[in-house]
Amino acid sequence: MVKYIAKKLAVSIVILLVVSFLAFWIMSVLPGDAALISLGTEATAERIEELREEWGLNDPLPERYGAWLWDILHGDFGYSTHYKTACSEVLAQRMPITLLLGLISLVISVVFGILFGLVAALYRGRILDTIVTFCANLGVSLPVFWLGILLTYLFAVWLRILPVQGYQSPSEGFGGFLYFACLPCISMAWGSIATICRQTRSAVLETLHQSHVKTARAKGLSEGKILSRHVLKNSLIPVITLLGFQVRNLVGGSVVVEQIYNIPGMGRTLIQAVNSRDTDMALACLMIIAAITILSSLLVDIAYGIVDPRIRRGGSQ
Amino acid sequence: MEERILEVNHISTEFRLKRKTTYAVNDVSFYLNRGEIIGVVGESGSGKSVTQMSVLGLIESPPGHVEGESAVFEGQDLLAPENRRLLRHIRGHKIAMIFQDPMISLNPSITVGEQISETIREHLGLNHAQAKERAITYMKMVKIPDAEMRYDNYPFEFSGGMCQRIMIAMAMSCDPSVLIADEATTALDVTTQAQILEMLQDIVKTTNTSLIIVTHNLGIVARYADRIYVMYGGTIVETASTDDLFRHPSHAYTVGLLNSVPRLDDSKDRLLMPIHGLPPTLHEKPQRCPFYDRCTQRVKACDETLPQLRPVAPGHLSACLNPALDTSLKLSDAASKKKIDWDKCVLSVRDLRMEFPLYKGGLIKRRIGTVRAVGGVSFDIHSGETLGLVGESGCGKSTVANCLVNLLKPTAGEIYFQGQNIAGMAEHAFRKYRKNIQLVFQDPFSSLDPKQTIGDIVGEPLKIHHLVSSREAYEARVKELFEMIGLNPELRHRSPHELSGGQRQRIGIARALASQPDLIICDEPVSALDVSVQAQIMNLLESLQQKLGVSYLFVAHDLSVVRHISDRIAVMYLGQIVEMSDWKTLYENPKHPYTKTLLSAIPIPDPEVERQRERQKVVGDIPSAAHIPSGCSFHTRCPYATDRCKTQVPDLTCDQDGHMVRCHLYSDGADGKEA
Amino acid sequence: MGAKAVLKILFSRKATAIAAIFILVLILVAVFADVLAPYGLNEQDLRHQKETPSAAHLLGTDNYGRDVLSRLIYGSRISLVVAFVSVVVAGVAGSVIGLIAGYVGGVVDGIIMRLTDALMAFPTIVFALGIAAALGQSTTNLVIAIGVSTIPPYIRTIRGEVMKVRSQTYIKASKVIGASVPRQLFSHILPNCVAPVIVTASVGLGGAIMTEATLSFLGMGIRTPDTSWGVMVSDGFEFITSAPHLAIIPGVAIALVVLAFNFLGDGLRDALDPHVRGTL
Repeated sequence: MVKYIAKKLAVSIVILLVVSFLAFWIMSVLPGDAALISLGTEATAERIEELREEWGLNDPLPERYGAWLWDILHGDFGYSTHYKTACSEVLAQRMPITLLLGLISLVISVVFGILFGLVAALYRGRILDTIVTFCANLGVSLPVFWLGILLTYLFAVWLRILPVQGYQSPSEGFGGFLYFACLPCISMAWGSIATICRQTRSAVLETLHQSHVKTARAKGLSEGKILSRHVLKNSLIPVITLLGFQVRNLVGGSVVVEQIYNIPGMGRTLIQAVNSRDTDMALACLMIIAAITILSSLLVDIAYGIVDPRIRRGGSQ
Repeated sequence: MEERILEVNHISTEFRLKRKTTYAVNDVSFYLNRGEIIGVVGESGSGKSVTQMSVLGLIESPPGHVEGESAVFEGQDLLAPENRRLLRHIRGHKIAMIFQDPMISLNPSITVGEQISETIREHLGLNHAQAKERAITYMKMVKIPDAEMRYDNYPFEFSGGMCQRIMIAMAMSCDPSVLIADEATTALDVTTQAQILEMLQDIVKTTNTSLIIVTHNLGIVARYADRIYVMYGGTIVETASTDDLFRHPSHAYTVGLLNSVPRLDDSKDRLLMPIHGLPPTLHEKPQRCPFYDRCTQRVKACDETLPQLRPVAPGHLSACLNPALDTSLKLSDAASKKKIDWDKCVLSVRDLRMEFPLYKGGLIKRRIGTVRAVGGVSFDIHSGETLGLVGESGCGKSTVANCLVNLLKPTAGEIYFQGQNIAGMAEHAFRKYRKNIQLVFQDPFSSLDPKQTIGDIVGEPLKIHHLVSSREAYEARVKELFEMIGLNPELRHRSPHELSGGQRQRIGIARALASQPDLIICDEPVSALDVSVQAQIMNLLESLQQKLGVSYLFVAHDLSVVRHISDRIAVMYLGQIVEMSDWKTLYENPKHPYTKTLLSAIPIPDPEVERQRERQKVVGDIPSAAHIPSGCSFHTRCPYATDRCKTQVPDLTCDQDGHMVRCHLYSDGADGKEA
Repeated sequence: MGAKAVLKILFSRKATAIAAIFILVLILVAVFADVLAPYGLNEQDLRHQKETPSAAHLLGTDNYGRDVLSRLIYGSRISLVVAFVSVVVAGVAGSVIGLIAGYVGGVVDGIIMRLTDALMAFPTIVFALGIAAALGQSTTNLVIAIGVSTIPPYIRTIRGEVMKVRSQTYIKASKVIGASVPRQLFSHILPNCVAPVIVTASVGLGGAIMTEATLSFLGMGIRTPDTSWGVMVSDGFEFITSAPHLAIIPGVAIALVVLAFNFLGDGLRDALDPHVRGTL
């Protein structure tokens, strides 16, 4: 098991390195560089060139990448030309917001996704299953931003029970936080609930048809015990695998949702950074996002190892 | 005094799907006495398993729907609606069941011990500690070594045979009155199968438990059952005591079945008589004899009503309307027509070795051992001859087959074909030999490309090797090949999935024949087919050999099948040939203890013969090819093993009749001589 | 297996049949947009701004008095073209790479898969956003951005499929009868790998429409004077309090198309799976 984790960890680090290079490369291609942006259009060509030289923008790509990576490994994400401060400071303020909202959405989607999926599987072929399945299909088809708009219209414009946009930190009052966080979290979680629900449903149905469930019935166990002891655990394995992807989708969703609800999180920062050619800031956001998804798939792999005795025992097959 | 423990009357089961209903079981009645072993025999789709599941309330509803007069178990009607709740407490407690594939019948994510204890806690109300203690007792009863230690192991840490023992321990753990074994040994190797059945018999006899053996294997019921029910098309067509049934089979289907399966004690010239056609689909309630379409002995009345079981002798019922059934065996002249040229070798294999390195670790792999799949195998195949290569799973027989057709590159050794050493040849050099040495695969379902028509499959070798000059010649040759294997050429535009298993295997044979090979390697060609279909393929292979003079290497695990078709036979164990001789000597005078064990393990569908047979029992599982025992690799399971066997590897010795054996028991004899 | 059998199964399910017809109609609408649209794309009627649906303007008008229905019809062109082209780009590139990874295996496979993992570390929308920003804003670049960011699923799908098919006995059988490597690859392996790619592509079309809309919403996609449904939602969002239909109507259109492609994908999955086909 330790070996298994170590191996997965090593692979994750390799992937993170590849990602960092890709991100750096894409950002270096961005038209208009930091020197140009920070000096404005009236600056002379000499001044721009001077600043470029000073910031090392004229060095070859691998060299710049190396220097940047070195800094990042030391916790220095560079200087944000847009916020006029160190990127790490911006991140320290904004990352927790995204993480908090994302975590809440994840919990919501796991709880409701599994619940609905289970209900649909157990009542397969009946009305309840049809309704849940249809809603799940609808769920994976709705674009996050439009769902956000629809919810805003329903609850903020029409019913007027929730705010149109804005954010309040939980430290300033938990009630206020919930008041603002409610719609963003639902918008983000909606698609994940649907995906998890569909996966749970099909996994439970598949497990129900496996031979060992027949054995459990032949042993005379009650349906409740069969479900809780023999079906649930085995059918959760594919659902766990899916969670890594869900974290990735939630992070993607947060970019959009923060834009709609005007939440000062990392997603919004990323958009701003890209729009204002704030390369260091954008790179910092990209790296954090990649790190989050890679970390979550690492956690999923470990969870998988815990659930599956074949991996836990380090068996060869 | 006989005590009826279970009596099922007129039970019927149907599966109602949206488009069609399948009448899987139709009006079946049977009974079981305390301590009795009954056999329920039938091919796949005969309704034999569904009947048992229906009685136990294990049919999923919907789509399943069970109806019946009664199923009385110890005075209680299991079919009565008010007893539905009770049924759950009877299942696993009073009536236990074990299934076909033990590896998937156990929950992969719960320890085996817990799975046994769970049953005990459920029915006997013991606490965790008591249940564990009882579970270990039963694990010991089914001879799981180190039961205490292995209590906390997961199913994947056991072999198939051991998993089935666990299943039996689980089934027996609440001391049931009835045990149902549903094809419980079908997925296992013959020696393991024999061990498990032997053990089951011991257990039920000592505990006075009744046993229902559900199987397709006539030999197994002949050996173990007291009474037999034969099922076909969802009905019971015949029932009698085991002796009666085999001595006086009274239903055309029973006769057909007995005449179609090869037997270990067959005379060589017995003609296998396949049952042609397909079993009924059961989409309509049967109005006439379900066997009517495939029956060679039908009479007019068979078409008019659904025949009912009626007594033909005391305790012997049959649903056959033909009053004068022909039960005699037919003889064939296949053997005499064979032309074997003993002076001409088609293929010579010398000291063939195949080892697979065993790696561990992900990014940085390191070699932790070697799997010796084949460890020095030598044999010749003569022109027109069939050499049988027999052994249990993992003995390396399929690896040898794959090396011969260059699908695997052997680690060492030579393979001479047409005077050339073809072992491990580069593909481009080997290509010209491809058309002369062909392979027929085991699984007729996965060996045909689902996206090709069967005509294209058969014709592909013609295109690859440019064997035909024109479109017309191609069409004519494909047509000829279809006729050769007994399929209507009109079918050539069909897809493989539209054919039955037997028809698909014919296509596989036609593909192998297309390039007119000198040698065809048949890798378990009938083991995936139903018993009545196996005979068709065996007869086809034999008649093709007569016509074309092609040589076969017939790889199989079933000694009765091999015996029927082979001229000489080689027995493999853990990568080595342990015995090789002509078929007659091998069966009548086997020398190697492993050969004896293998022969003993196969039951003969004849209870009288079975009773007189001397049987050699074997212990333990086949060791893994990664950890081959020192000395004679069979010494861990051999009853005659001496200290010498543990350290010294025996050589393959040969007596003056060409009977080769690899065993210390014979190596010191006067006629012992190095091969 | 014939195309007829697949179509029969597709249309035997109501949801799939409706989805297929809906998509067909939509394609026709996009092709004949000029004939069908009651008003021009940018035809302004400043006397009728932000009007709710009426007989003259079936789906109302926007803040410049432009007819929403007409813009929706014209917008379908860009949405569909961007989706189709990007899926073709992703499908072809992903399949070729996946085929190489699956067939060659070993180190090549390892490198390709680690790269794929790296690409998968970014949420599709973030990845597309990055590429779109790097390339600069244009419809072509948008197609490239969406195409490139959706390559990984195709690589994984076809690689998995090739590896599965490669180990099938019928590939062994083709080796035994002497089939050359190209013959194995193109006559036996590829035809048996196509089905899952088609399914992925069908679902991917819905995903591409969604990604395009999202990018346009975030201001990284289509720009005026052109329009797509995403742009319409984005523009309408400003007036969510005064004229909610401006954002909601194009959103419904997006959701319906994506839903239709998902249903079609599910239907195809079942229709192309021989196991399912046997039971129907």
